[in-house]
Amino acid sequence: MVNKRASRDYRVSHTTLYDYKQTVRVCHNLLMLTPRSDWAGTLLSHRISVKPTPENIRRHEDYFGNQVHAFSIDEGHRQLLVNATGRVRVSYENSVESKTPWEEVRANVISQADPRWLEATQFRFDSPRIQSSKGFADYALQSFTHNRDILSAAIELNERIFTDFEYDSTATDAYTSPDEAFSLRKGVCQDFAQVQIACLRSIGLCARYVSGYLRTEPLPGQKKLIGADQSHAWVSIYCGREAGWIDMDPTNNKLCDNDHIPLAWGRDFNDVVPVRGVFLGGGQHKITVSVDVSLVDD
Amino acid sequence: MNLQTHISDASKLLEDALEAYQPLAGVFDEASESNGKLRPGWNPLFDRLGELSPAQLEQRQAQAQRQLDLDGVAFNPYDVDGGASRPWTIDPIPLVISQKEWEALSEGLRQRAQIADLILLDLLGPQTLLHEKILPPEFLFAHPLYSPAFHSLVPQPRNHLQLFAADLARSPDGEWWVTTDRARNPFGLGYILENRLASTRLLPSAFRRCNVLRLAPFFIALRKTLQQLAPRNHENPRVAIWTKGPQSSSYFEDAFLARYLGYTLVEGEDLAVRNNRLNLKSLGGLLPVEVLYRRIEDHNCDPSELIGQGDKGVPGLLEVIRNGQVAVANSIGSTLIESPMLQAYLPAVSEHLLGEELKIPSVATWWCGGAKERNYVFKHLDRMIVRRAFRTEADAPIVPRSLTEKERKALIEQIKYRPEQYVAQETVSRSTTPVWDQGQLKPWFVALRSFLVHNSNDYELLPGALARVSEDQSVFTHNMTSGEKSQDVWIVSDEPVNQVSLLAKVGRQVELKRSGAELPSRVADNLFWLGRHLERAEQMARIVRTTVGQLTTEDSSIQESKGLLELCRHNGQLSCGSEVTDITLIVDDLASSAFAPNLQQSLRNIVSRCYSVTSKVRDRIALDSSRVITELNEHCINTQTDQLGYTDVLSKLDWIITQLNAASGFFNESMTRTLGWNFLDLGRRLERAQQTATILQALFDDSLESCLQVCDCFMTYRDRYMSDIQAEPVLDLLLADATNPRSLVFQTQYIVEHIDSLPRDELQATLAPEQRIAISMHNSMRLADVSELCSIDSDGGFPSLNRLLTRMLEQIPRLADQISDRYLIHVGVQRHFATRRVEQTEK
Repeated sequence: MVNKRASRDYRVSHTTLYDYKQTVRVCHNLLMLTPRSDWAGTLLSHRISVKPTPENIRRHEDYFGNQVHAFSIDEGHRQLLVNATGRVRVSYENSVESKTPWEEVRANVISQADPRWLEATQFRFDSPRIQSSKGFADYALQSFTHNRDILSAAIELNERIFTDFEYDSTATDAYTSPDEAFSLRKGVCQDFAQVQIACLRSIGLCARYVSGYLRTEPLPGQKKLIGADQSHAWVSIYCGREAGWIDMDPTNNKLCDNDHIPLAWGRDFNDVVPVRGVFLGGGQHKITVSVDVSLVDD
Repeated sequence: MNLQTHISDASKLLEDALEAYQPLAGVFDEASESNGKLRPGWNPLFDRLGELSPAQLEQRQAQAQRQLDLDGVAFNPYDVDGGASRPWTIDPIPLVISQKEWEALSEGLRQRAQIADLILLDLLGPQTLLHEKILPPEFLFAHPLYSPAFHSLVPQPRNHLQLFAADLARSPDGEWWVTTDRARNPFGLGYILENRLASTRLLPSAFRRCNVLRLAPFFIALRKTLQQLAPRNHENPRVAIWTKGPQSSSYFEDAFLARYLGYTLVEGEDLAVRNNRLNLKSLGGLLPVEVLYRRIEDHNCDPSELIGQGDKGVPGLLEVIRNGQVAVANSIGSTLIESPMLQAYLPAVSEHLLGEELKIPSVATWWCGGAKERNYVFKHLDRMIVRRAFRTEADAPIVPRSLTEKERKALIEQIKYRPEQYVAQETVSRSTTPVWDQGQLKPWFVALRSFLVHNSNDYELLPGALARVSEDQSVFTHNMTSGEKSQDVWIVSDEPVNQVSLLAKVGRQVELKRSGAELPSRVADNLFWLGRHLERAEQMARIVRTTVGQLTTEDSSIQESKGLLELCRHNGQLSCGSEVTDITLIVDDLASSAFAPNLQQSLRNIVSRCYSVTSKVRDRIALDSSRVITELNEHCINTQTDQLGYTDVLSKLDWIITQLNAASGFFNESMTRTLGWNFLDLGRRLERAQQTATILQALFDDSLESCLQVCDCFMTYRDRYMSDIQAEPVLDLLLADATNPRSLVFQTQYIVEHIDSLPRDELQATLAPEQRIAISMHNSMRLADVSELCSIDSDGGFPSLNRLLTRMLEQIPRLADQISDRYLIHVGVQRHFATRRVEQTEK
């Protein structure tokens, strides 16, 4: 089975609103809201707007090739609005055929025989949010049996996380560790993705964390996807020289297709936080996020 | 240490001890060759030493040590923040190395610094070392403190390491080996300078005779290098030393270097990012910082992008660096060079980056991430020391041969589970050098730390080093800064050397400056509290002294001293209640309360607060004043209260008051009258006003004489009025006499002046709240009608005086709060946010 190489255009609008009880005197922010132009997507147009308007918004590309915008606001404010709007063409090309045993993929990366060993290796080790452990390894090895081909094993792991874990947005928060989510067997997309990455890294495979969106409206006759209308996250696994990186979504138990719009990737959530910052003052605050992803008909 | 027991004949020349020096067999000795001949450079030192008697040497050492102690030179042997610090002990014998030998070493060390710098340039840039498989990728990606944010911070190509240090050991064949590389913020330069000060005092004539190379040119180069990093304002950039604060292990050195190099010492909370610049938050407003010499760990620099503890860093710093608006030395990411794992790969890295062989070898190192190496390590485990492959915190190394069979198995399992996290190294063999111990010269093992500074496309080696010595060489396994003592290292030339000074060269125009607006708010806060604590200590000492004095006169009675005793109780200087009437018990109580460690307000604890504030502003105040306070604090801590007699207490209190006055005198005469002074004196005046008002309230209706004595005005009064003590003239002197530095009106006058001179918006038309309170206080003192205030009511009290004093005592804390709100607390609480999903709204 091979995904059809088709593409879809989306209009994505991501708005984050901060309401503060007291005046914030200063804030420093980093945004990772610009979709990557990459093998799965092409950025057609994009615009960031911030209110109150900062003196300037600076842009740089991070180590993983993600687009980062940085700005500071030095005047007192009680509300901060960040909006990112853009058009993206998504063309997921998951050539979903691989007969390579997972041990061979691992060995080739470690021995540096795989031509993309360096790119993959960056995602093989512990990262600030994801620590590998024997528990994760044992869970993973139930699917990654001896000499099994990497893809079917990974798809099974993806499915098991979907089945074994309960989607519960009250059980965890943005700072919950994969260890906690693993023992709770609960969480949201971020937790599922990080648990899956922890499992894969614990058996020596390379996996990265992808942040992105899902299309909001389902195709006629299909169920609405879990995690639509919000920031989403999934996993990309390095499957060796033929298959390359394969994206899968444990929250929806599927391989990523053109319903997924990738934004940025990194070792874990920490590397790709969509909106992050530090502010002085403010007292209590309320964050409201809204995401709208609509299909653009051509 | 009792020296007499070791020295039988004090007049005997040191020569015998020098002759009796016996190096250990099979160990390289720095001073003596195997045939007993002295190595190059040592002769003039031994000649001069020979002219001293052991007693003279010990006496000079004791003096030098006293000086170091008073300067507050302490250190933390394992370099752990918050860990116990020990006094810095210096040995009277320096370690001599000939210039020729040092230059040969210098070539190898310069190459090493160069390589370290190029490694960073490569790894944070094109990564050829990884692509071409010279370094395993784990070196970067398995480092627990690695952050992708390290990349592309510094505009390429620029060097990353302004300062580099390498720890050295010497094997029996006389070859040098590097045991550790330090690249983040190498510890030790301040101690080297302190050692040099001490050794030149200890052996002045030997120092002159030996042609010791000077340290100053190195620091001039360091200043130049830091200056050239500045993205703008090259002529006179603001350079700040970023310390982790008084609790950190390097604080002594940070403050010392700030003073020595003439830089501003800052903590994270003194810095703020505004308008895409890094600024120093000062009383005069925000001042741009161009260069930051950091002592803080890489991952703690910026909580908005890095993973460290948020309260230490400066949010937004990385973005300012990325935009080229501030330079940080050494680059954030330099910590990668400190990984012991690197030592296993340096020869190959050297070939790859420089096309040269590595000139100084590292201690043999095997990285357990490689299967072959790991097997070798397991096979030879007993010969090895096991360490973490990456430097994160002060992880203690493991010595497998001292483990039990069970622990050993556990270690092997641990390594097998995370092999990339471990290295094993061969045990280091070290050289010895003569050390003065218990009246003899003995060969002790030595660990050296050498320093290099980047200087016009090359590195320059400091002609000197940090030397730690110990009888037992295994203590250096953990950290080179272990060991019992330190020695100054003399690099000696065959020819006379030039004098160098850090003072600016003639002919360069320096802009004249008189302002002190650069004062960080945190420093102002500390100076303000120093002023208050000093004054409070003095007042408490006076109150207790007067009370003890009065109780121990021939015809003393509890009744007569009732007011004073109440005052003591009120101030927390007396713990027994008023039911106790036995004079002896009360005096004992006063004496022990004054020096009690567990009473919050005891004199001893107030002095210790003075000391702790002093140590936070060490870079801002004259050395003499901080020495006096150090000594005072030690004295109070060492006072045993159980054996104090009356006279002992009185003489101790006399001494304490004298010392406090000496400290105040140093402040008065050595501080420029800038904002720092304003805050120090403001603190003192406020405290004195409060104390004097309290004393008048407590004693005026009880004993006029005690009032005069406690307020230190007895002599003045007698001068004016002889022994006729009356209410009106006493009150005039203590309250309304503007010429008396102890009167209330004198305090309020200075309070008004100090507050007027604080920076504020010049366009503001109305008076600020703190100005209003100060003026109101001052006016009520100036308008006070002494004879009306002395009118008595039916109970013998002074109602209008009481009202006036009560009002004043309410105003003082309000004024202090206003000042601190407006000037001293600039720092708000920082919060972080990271969004995840829609439904997550914080209530």
